[in-house]
Amino acid sequence: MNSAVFEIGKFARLTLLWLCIIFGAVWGVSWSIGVLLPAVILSQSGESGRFWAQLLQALVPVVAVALFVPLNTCYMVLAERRLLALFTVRKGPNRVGPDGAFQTVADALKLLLKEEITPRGADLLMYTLAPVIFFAPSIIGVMPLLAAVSGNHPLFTPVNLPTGVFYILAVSSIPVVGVVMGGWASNNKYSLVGALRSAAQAISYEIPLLLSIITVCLLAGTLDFVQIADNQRGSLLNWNILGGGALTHLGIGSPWWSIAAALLLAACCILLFALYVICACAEVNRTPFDLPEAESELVSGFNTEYSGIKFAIFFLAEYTNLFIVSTFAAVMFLGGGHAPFPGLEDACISGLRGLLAAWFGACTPFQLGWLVNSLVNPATVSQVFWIIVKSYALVWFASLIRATLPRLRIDQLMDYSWKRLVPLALILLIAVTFLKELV
Amino acid sequence: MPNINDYLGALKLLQPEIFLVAAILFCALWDLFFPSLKRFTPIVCIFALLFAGAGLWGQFVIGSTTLFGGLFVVDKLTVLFGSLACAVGAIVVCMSTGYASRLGRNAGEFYMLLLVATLAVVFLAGTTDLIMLFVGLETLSLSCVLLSGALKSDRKSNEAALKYLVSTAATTATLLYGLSFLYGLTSSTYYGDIHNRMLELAHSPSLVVVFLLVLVLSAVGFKLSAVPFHMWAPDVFEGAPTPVTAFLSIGSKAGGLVVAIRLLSTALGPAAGDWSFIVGLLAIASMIFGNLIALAQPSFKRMLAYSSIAHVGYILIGLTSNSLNGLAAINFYVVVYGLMNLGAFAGAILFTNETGSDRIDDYAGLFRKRPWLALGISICLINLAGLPIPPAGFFAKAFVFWSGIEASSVLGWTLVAVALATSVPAIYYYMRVVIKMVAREPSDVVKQLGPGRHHLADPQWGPAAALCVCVAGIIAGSAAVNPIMNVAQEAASALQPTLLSRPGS
Amino acid sequence: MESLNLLTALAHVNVEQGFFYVLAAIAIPLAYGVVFDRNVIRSGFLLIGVFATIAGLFFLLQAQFLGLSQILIYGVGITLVIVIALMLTNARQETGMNPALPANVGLASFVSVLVFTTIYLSLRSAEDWPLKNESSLSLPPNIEMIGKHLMTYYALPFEFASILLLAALVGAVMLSKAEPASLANAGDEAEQAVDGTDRV
Repeated sequence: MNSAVFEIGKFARLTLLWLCIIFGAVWGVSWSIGVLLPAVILSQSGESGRFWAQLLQALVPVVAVALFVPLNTCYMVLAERRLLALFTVRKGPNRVGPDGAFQTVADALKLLLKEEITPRGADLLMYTLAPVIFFAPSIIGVMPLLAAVSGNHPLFTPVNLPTGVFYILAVSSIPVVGVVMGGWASNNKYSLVGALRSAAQAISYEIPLLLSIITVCLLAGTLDFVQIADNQRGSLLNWNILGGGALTHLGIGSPWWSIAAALLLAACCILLFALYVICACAEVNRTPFDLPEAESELVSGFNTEYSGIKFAIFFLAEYTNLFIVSTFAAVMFLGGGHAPFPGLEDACISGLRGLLAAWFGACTPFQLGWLVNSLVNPATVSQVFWIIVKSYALVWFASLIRATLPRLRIDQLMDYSWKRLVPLALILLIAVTFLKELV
Repeated sequence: MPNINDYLGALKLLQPEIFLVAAILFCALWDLFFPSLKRFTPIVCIFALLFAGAGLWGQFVIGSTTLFGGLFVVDKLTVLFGSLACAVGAIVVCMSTGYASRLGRNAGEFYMLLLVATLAVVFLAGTTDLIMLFVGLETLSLSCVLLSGALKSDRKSNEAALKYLVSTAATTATLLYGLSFLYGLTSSTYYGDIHNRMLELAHSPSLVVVFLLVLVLSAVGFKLSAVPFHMWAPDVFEGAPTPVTAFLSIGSKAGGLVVAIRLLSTALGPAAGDWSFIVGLLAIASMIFGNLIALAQPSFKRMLAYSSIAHVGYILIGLTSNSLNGLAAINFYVVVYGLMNLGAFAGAILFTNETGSDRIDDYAGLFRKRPWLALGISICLINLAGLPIPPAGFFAKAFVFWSGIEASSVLGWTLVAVALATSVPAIYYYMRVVIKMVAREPSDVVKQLGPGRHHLADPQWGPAAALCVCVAGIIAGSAAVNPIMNVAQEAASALQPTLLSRPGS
Repeated sequence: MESLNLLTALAHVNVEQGFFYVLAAIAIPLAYGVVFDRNVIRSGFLLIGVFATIAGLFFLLQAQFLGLSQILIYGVGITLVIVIALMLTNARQETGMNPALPANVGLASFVSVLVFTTIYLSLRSAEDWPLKNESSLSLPPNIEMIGKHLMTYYALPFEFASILLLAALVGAVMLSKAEPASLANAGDEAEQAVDGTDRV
């Protein structure tokens, strides 16, 4: 018992370290490109530099994502290995760096230096293109989420789309093309079987996934991530997982059918969330739906033949997809960047503000105040904090599932989607539509 | 902005269609929940179709009403073709009951798809918008493809379905291409707006109008199986289950025809000079090729298939004239031709069910063994040939030819001349069958026929009933040429008010 | 709002037209590849590329919703199913065959040139295409418009499409439903026997 607590403590320390590295680096770079450099350019060259300043600002989301993805993957792989070790009462990687904190960095280096092998008879063009197609959507696809997770920070507002939700869904359907392509081009029957399974699975589970998201959008009345997150401001009861505010309007005087509808709506939304989690697991090929790469039967499926940097790209994309799916759920269902209890958010912000004032209040002579304010905006920090907590909680939950559940068989997999999930999703769609009006 | 009362009013007018949708859902689910009561599906279908047809017919008295802001119109033309489609559907379902044993476990789905095809024709009859037109045509094509492939264990049926699918996909592409140009030129999908814009464009004639007309007409011609878009027809007609062939030869053609009438004479009316020439060419080619190739067919179904191509040629004469009389003649022709053709196919089913043969030579001497069957088939065939015994078929042809003469243009005269010339081989190949059945010695197949069975549990009752209905219809139609022609004329004159601009905008 | 300046600058240098030509330059070779590639599976993947570039054209016209649906439905959903179906065929065997004879190639290219000329001439012949001259970058998002139209003016075809899809689904079930063994390969008698037992 004691050792488990000890291990959890170690894991928490490691997480803290890595999150500081990731978000410190990402925000530092974003800030220097998007705020510091433009300010310098504008002060030096005035109006003529405006174009370049804006160009730099427009580049911020791209740079931020490009930096975030590899760093985040390093942490996620490490966290997963440590968590799996924890769940199965083992030690996990603990040699490289303090407590094995840099194990995945070393792994990544090793992977990049490995020889790249192209199997004989492979279709070279497709073989090379497959990892790119698999990976590109996770970079492109995450963009509209940036505004919502950063509390609509001005640097990230331009990438917020009015059709953000639909955009992510469309883009996140692309990776399966890469899987099929890679599996076919490898000229290996295991790879091909993995690719075919993956395609069947992705297409089947995309339907209930889409339906569950559509239902949430119906509840929120918009496809815009920022608005969806804003609608859930307030408290836990306003989150979409509890019916998007249906419960808050209830009072003593409300009629019984209104109460019943609100409760039912909340129940439906909880079911929706479960539906989403299941389908999302299948979409990103996580256990118990990891048939496309089932190590024990298909020698890791579609990426059997890949090695070196191409394999690394597959690996990177897979974990990034998991993270995107978790963040997506955090924004869609779990209130985005808003705290679960009323007052908590304000307390966070004002506390932070006080802290900043105390630390940097004296530094104004060099006009540092403006820089600091733009560097650490209390409202943004609070939002990002809650998003981080929620997203990584979901990521860890996925690890827990991986450690717990066995893999499904392919026919069970298809049955489960078409005969259980799709009808459930349709029923929920209709139920939520009507209940929303009744509340 | 349209308000909710408009919708409720529109839905009230769409009741027959909604009823058909309910019947479709019923057919789709009935087999699943009550497999032991399977045999009631066709009966329910027939009643649903008759009910919906009667409901539609009840709307004949109301004038034209535009629904959904101009997307769909309920006028006399809609009603005529809609109820015709329902009647055809009912007769085809009736025929299929004699065929159900070959459909295996797919009978429920078969009836359901038949209802879908009928519904698609009903909607096509009233569409006044390109989007609705496209969705309707797609539904019709898709259900017809599936119906042609309903005999899964029969290779010819599979071939028919595949051929139909591939060629229908190609024509869908050309149609969509043409419609996109039409939309690009007129920036509207509503017929009325297109009409107004085409009027403006008529001042500066351009090749692009001809081009889009060719594209659109190729798709319509495909549905009508007019030469040169007929390549699919004979193989599909031969391979598909015979009731489906009957439906394809009249139900789906009625859908294509009503689309052609409405689209060409309202939306594209200002370009009539261009399209009537193209349609005229299609008509001439169809009459010549259809009739000449039909001459050489040894198979009864194939002969009917080619002759139906020829009939499309006759029908198109009426369309070319682009006059009230021409359109009325078309309406009359379609009603009468539908009955004759369905009757002939019902007879073919009866004969094939008993003998397993489809060769024309095998029909010889049928009169000795099955006098009533031979008589029914003979009446249908004589009418198809346009001979005046009883005179419905004759009048149909006469009206169409007259409208061609009335147009008093070179094109009209040429068309009628070709039609008269090609009627001669038509009379020959239809009468050949009749004479064989009546006069010749029985063929080997007919000799083996036992005495007829006459009880209701016989699977032959369905096609037999269909044949009786058709023959009765032909005789009644011959007695009531004037009332039918009045209806046809009223339906044709309904086309004019749809040219008003879009209501509510 | 800060980026508005950048957008106007982009519109000023006619970046839109540039993008159009870039996308066209990608799409056309890909489309040719679909036709000419000997390997059907590779053709399938190229088709996905064609659809993706067409989605890009939609984005260029500010039709985000259409572009995204194009990717979601055509680019991935439908084409992928086609590709999978192709994978189940024996593609290697077919790459060895020579499908087009030289004589046919001549005829086919003649017809293609003829068709192209006709289309080109007829498109040039109309002078008054109703065009909009404003930059599409300045248009408002149109997803709401699409939704509104689908639910009001186009409600009927939208609903009717559900019947189309129902028919397609039922048809798919019909075609893929397993027949009793006796029905699949035996003659008429066997069929009737099965039917008889069904009715009892």
